[in-house]
Amino acid sequence: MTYGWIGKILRVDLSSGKTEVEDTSRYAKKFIGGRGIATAIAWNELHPVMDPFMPENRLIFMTGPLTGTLAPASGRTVVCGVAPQAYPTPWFTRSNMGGQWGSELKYAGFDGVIIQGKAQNPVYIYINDGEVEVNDAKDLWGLDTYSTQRMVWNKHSRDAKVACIGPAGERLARIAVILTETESAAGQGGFGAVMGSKNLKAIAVHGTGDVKIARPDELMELCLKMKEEMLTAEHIPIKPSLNPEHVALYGQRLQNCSHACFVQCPLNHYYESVPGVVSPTVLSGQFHCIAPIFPGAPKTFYDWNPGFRAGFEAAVLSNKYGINQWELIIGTVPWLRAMKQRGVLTNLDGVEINPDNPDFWFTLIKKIAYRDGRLGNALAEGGLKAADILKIGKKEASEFWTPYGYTGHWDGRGDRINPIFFPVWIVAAIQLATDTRDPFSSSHGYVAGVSLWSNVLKWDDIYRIADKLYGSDKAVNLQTPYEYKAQPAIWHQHRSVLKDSLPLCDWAFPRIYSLSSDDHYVKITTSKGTIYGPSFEHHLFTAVTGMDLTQSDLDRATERIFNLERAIQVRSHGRSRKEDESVIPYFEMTEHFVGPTGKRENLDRGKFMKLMDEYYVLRGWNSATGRPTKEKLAELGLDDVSRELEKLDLI
Amino acid sequence: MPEKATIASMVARNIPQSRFEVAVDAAKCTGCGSCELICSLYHDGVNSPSLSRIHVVRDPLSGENSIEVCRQCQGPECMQVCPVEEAIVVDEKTGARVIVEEECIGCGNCFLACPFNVEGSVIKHRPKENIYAKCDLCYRREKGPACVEICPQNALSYIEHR
Repeated sequence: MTYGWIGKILRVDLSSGKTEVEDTSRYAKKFIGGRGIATAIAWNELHPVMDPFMPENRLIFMTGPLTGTLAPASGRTVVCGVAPQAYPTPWFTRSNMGGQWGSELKYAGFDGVIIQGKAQNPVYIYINDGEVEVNDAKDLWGLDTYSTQRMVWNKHSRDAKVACIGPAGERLARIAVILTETESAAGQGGFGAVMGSKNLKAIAVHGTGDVKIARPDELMELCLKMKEEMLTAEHIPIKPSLNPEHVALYGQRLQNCSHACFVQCPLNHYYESVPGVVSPTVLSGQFHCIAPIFPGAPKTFYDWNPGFRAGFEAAVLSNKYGINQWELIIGTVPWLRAMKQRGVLTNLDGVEINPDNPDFWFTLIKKIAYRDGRLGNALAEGGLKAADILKIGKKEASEFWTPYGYTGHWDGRGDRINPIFFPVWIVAAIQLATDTRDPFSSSHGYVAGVSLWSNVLKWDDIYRIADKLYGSDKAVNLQTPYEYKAQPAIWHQHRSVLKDSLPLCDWAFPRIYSLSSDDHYVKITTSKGTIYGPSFEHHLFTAVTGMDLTQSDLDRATERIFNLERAIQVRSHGRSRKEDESVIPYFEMTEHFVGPTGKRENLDRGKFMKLMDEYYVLRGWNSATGRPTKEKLAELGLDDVSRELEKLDLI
Repeated sequence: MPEKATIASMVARNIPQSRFEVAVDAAKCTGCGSCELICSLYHDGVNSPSLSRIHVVRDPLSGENSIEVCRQCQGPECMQVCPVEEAIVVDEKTGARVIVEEECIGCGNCFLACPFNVEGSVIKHRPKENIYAKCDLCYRREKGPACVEICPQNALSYIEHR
């Protein structure tokens, strides 16, 4: 573990207060880092099936070999464990966050932190250059996420990086996030609640160490060339999210999210000081991704209008209280509005359900964060569970939530803001069917890539690039909607694993399309020759680690990790093709955007089933059960996994 | 902590003119830290903000980012107080005031004398080797300072000394 990795993983048992250090090299070669290593730990430790709030559940914070290096947008951390947000059964999944926490953890001497057990009283962990303290958090408990960070800075060092939970996590809201800085959050999964269940308010890290680089000159050259490429060619064409009128009134400031990010990205524009409506102060924050929808988006499905300031404040408050913004905007609020329209539910304990009214937003956020009243308590459980508890709105909920308990995302249904159209969402359907969560926050590559770039490039260019990348233009061809879709789905699933294991930002990688490149395919020229966008990750990995792995070795590692995730599903939940197919009714709903076919389409079940057959065959899984085969697991060096599944008669 | 410079060591030397400097436009800085990472990569072959000779002060909650880096002063106090003649030298081409690692005895006079050394962020102490390090404008590098080249926001520029 000389280069890239630090070589140590910290384990903190909050029940006993004991800490241990483990060797990263036990996992690194086979499972890379981040999501990969966390999955390997989960296979070893998260069994038999457990409730997310049991002390035995692990909360795994894992960086990777590129975290803390100059590699573009590499300052990320993956968070894994049994996730309370998953519906109906909480199961193992992952989330990840930006900021500088992960880099600082490595400078402090660790690749990752495994939290287990439960502290008797609220505590926070402080890691300072290899020294670990588990400290009383009496005075932090109850604070919002911003105040918690400031308080920890006052106690220790202004240079400490803090990942923490707000009141929502303390009260085990299943849609609670773990947050660092203003909005870098491990959002999906509800891991804030797992942290709360362990009585853990924050993990603060401070380090003055380094990450060793095998080939510094090569890394430097690569990064300088990639920077040039990233500044001239947008990865995905997205518009600036700040409104010039509001900027004139409230100012803007710049703040990056992932450490070492040099992508020209609208995410780094923040409003500087917006006067609060209920907060007696000015608020500052990022306003991108789903946040701009808080004040409403005219002429879209989300056409409410509480006013800019109230909407902005609601977005900031959801960060401060530690609530998943995606869930609120795509799920909770549209669901409540639909129930109001259909006369099922009219108010939240006396406050009318009316997204045009600022009070509605503030009431809703506080009710969820504090589990206030019968409704707040139910809504904190996430939409599908809330519908079960309240025994209302199940049908309405199924319009916004996908079968595994996450609101729609880049699929043309529950998410009615991201303009994806037929047949692009066929690939989304395969990816979602075979995953454990909404896959798209770490797999925008196909769904957002094809949808958005088709507005910028000619379809012929997209076909040509697909032919090169996926092996056939049918992967994106509008004339062949139900052909050759399993291949791009698998390619992007593996790239999502790679990105989450190195880890890198999903808005930055993989790099495929370009406006500045002569053939619209991303490439750079270095002293080693031409390097194409999709192999950037591999070049960064080898320059940093010096490991002699080829692109196909790395691809094989990602396939191994994906199979191990599936094996966990099979072992703990008997996951099979039947569960995968539970996404079909969701995609049988008519799409929201009209694509190039000129009319709204929905999923053809028969044709999709054939695609699924193809998917399992390509994966080397049993196409009747949807489970990995002995042969596939052996090929991936997972014989021990195969033997355990065999004992349980699950292979 | 180093002791204060002695009067004897403060005799002014005939110091060649400054020619270039790294100029900072903090309003453009996003706090991404790329400058710190490339600095330590170029000089030390590792990635480590604490070894970097350029220092980003970052407050993600308020968004007040600033960058501290050596200004290559025309009358550099660091050089005037250095007791070892060859420990801080001037590069002819760039005019950079360069601390020579092998010659530095770790007395810390420069650290104390630098009027811009807020919290030790311009001239940094390296406890492992007990030496001091600061920006040398990457004087050996053909393309000039690496931090300027990597900065994605053009918050840094390599300009003639003001």
